[in-house]
Formats: sequence, C-alpha cells, structure tokens
Amino acid sequence: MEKHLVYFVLALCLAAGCAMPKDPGGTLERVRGDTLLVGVTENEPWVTREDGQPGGVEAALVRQLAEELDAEVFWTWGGVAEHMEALSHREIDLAIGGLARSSPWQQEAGLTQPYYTSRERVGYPPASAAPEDIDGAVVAVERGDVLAAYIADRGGTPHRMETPARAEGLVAASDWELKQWGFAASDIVLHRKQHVMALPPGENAWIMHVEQFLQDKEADVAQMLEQQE
Amino acid sequence: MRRRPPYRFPDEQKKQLKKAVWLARATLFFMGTVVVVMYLAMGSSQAMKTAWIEDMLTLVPAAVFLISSRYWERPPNDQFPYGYLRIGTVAFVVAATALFLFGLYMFYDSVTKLLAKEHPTIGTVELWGESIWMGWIMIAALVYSFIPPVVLGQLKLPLARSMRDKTLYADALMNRDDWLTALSGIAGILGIGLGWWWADSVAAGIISIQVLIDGVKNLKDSVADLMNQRPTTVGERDRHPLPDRMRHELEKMDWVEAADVRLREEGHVVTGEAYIVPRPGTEVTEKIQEATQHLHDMDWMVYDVVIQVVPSLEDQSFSDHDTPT
Repeated sequence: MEKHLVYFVLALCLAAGCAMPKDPGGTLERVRGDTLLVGVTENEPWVTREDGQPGGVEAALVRQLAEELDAEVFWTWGGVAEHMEALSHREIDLAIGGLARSSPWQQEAGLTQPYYTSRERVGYPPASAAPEDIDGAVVAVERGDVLAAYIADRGGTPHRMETPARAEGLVAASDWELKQWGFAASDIVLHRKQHVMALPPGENAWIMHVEQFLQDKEADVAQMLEQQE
Repeated sequence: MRRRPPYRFPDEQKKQLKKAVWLARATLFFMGTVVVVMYLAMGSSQAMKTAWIEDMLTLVPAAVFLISSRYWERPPNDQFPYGYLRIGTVAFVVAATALFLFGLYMFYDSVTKLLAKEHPTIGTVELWGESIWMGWIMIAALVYSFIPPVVLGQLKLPLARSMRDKTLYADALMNRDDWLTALSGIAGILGIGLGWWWADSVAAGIISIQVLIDGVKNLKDSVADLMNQRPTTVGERDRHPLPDRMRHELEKMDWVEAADVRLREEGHVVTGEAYIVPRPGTEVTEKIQEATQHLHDMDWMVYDVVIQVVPSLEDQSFSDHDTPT
C-alpha cells in the first residue's frame, strides 16, 4: 500500500512537472489574446481618474501587461470591497487601487508579491540641516493623513494643514511628494507600504504570470512616481 | 505508612534509557528545525498548516518522555508510597488527549475550508533573481520534514521494545508514520499545481484524521494502563505470558498447595499480588521470603509482587452483607 502511494505521487510529479501550476478557473488562458477585466479604485498616484479613464502608475503597468498578453483591457470603477468580492468569484481578472500587502483582503483575493515599497518620511528644507529625530519638533502633515498619528508616536507634534507643500520647516509625506515640493528627504521613515495587485484567489498560473511581469518594475515605478504632478 | 522499595532499572535497561533520552533530545532539536522550516514555507496552504501543527505535536511525546524519565527511579516517599512509576503514563494520557483534540480541530478546519470552496493561492517567491513557484518550496520543506522523524522513529522502536516503554513505543510509531503526512502534503500541493483546488483541503483532512487516530489509540492504551489492565506485550494487545509463568513457578514449590496471581503494569514494570494456599504445617514466613525473591528473579520487569497467604483460592468477599456464591 505504501509503495503504491509513493509511485502515485511520483507519477503526479512527472505529469505535472513542466505544466505547473495550473489555474483551476483557467484565467491566464482566458485572458491571453482576449480581454482583461480590471477593477479600478481611485487612489492617487497609483490610480487616477481623468474623464472616466484610469491613469496613474498601476494603470500604466496594467496596460503594459495587457499588451504583453495581447489582450484588450476593460476597466470597471468601484470600491475595493466590491472588487475583492468580484475577484473571489472570478468575475474580474485583476484589481488595482494602491493596495497594500497588509490589507485585510488576503483571504478573499490572491495578492501578488509586493512589486514596490513606498516610504513616507520626514522631509526638511534643503537649506537646513537634516533632523536626527522629531522628538518635540513640529512636523507639517496633510489634514486627515494617518502620518499625523505616526508623528505623535515618535514624540513629534503634527501640524495638520490643507497644503503641507507650503510648510516652512519639517514636513511628513511620501518620497516623491517631498521631491516634487522641493524638500530634502531625511532618514526618518514614518511608514513603509508594500504595494501589491489583487487577483482571483487560487488562480496560481495567472498569479505567477503577473508576479513575474511585475518582478523588475521597481525602477519603472520609481520613475513614473517622480513624473507625477 | 510502609513504603515500596525503590525501583532500579537493571544495567542493560539503564544503558538503553540513556540512549532513549539522547534520542528524545535529538527529536526536540530536529523537529524544532522542521517546525521552523515548515513555518517559513507554509504560505496559505491548509495542508502545510496541518502538517506544521502535526510536527509541533511531535515535540510533545519527546518532551513528556524527557521530563518523566527523571522521575521513574525516584524512591517512594511519604506522599507517594507507591512511587513515581506511573508518571509517564499519566503524562501520556494528557499528550494523547492533546493529539485527539488537535486532530479534531484540524479536521473541522479542513472540512470547513473544503465546504467554503476556498481556492488556496500559491504564488511565486523570488530566489536568486528567479521567480520560483512556492509549491516547490513547500514540497521541499515537506520532504525535509519527514526525514528526521522517520530516522528517529526507527532508532527508537527497538529501545522501546526492550525497555518495555509503551509511551516511547507509541512515540516511535508516530515518528515512523510521519512519511504518510509528508506524502499527503506533497500530493495536496501537487494537486493544487494541477488545478485541483480541493486537493489542499483533502490532504489536510487526511493528515488531521491520522493525528486523530493516533490520539485515540494512545488514549485507549494509556487509560487501559491506568485502569490496571493485565500485562500486555509491547506493541501488541496479546496477553503477556508472565502471569501464567508466575503461577506455574509458585505451584512448583513444595510448600504450595495452590497458587494464583493478579498482576498489572505500572509503566515499565509488572506488579501485583500472588495468592498462595500453603500446605499444612509450613513455616510460612520463611517460605514467603524465598518465594518472593524467586518471583523477582524471574524477570527484570517484576517489581514489588506481594504474596498473600490465603485459606483457599475461592473468590473473597469483604462485605458483611454479601454471601459468597
């Protein structure tokens, strides 16, 4: 009985070897040369909306992916929750919206490996010296941004503003925003976010394909972010 | 209160005990590494998670053995006049219960995942610049996970038989049967690779049933020991020949008219009472001393068998209200 089981498993190995893994729902096969259904959620700069058309870093990546697959892209706008549910029933093939790896949707959808890690840190006017820490310092931050809480955690005083770009002194924002606004980046990182895309759960061939596509896009993404307004 | 004499393993068994302790330590170490490897590789696969829990449960019998082995030869004292021989068995009941409950939980977990039609996501991981499917990593982890237990189990079996240690024996069998866990896990992952989303949950279910069965079996055996079951041979449910042999040895003695025994196991040893009807006119006290020594010389596992002199071998009744049948 034991021997038969071993042979069975070995046979599985051989049969499967090259073709692994497969999609239970055949997503990759279906998308290739056909249509790519993408759920989009507005979240600058990852997904932007102009005249109903999606733009931004992730939309650009998806267009590249579709070209590679010789597929036509159909965009559907909605909230993240709806897209996750649609993914779990394989109603859409991909969802983007600046999703983070730590999102609570890991059970509903298949998240890719992170393709980019964005950082939010403390910036300072290039004329001044770089701060070593923000204990007791005032740091400008956009009103409603969670960074205010992280600033307070580190002992700083958050100064909530409408447009932190106009702040004089320390500012907390993402790396590319600091660059755009003309601030220098200090070493004080307040928050790291690992960016992922969401795919139907268990469609492992499709997930593998998208992960491989995203593998070396880090530099491209950095460049695209800097070109944002 | 009168205490039992202290128990000492004979030299041969003492040597084997040392080896068994070393193997138990090795089990803790190697299974520790297996647990870490499995944790790093398991991802969102139900089969991997179940196998990982099963690997952690393997640590329990080894730990139980190490802890209880310190107590066996502790001399009986005022609080425990019968000594500490049963500590291993008691601990094993606890361990077997844990196995049973975990097996039940894992089975429930797998079945709910199967019914919910959850499709496990197994993506890629970047290693040395290459994108590798995590399934292969999981399979590699499963292969590593069954090598230490199978080897250790094989080494423990002969020791357990010769030491008459039933808990070590059960532990060794569980180790040796780990290959089935690994194989089920590998089949599950390969099934996922082939597009059968249910393969993962089914494999997890098979693994958890195994754990459940192990738990039930060990629970039955250790509870039977605590209930003073008649002595059995290690690994089988056969009646041990010792009680009959003992009775014959006693009946051979010239001062013995009739004899019988009532024996039970306490961990490694066999203990109990012998009932002798002496021939009239025997100097009973002296003869009992001789007979007791003779019984203990029969086998190293005989311990503290107490001889009772009785008027006849008929069943006794201790109650004033009963009339003997």
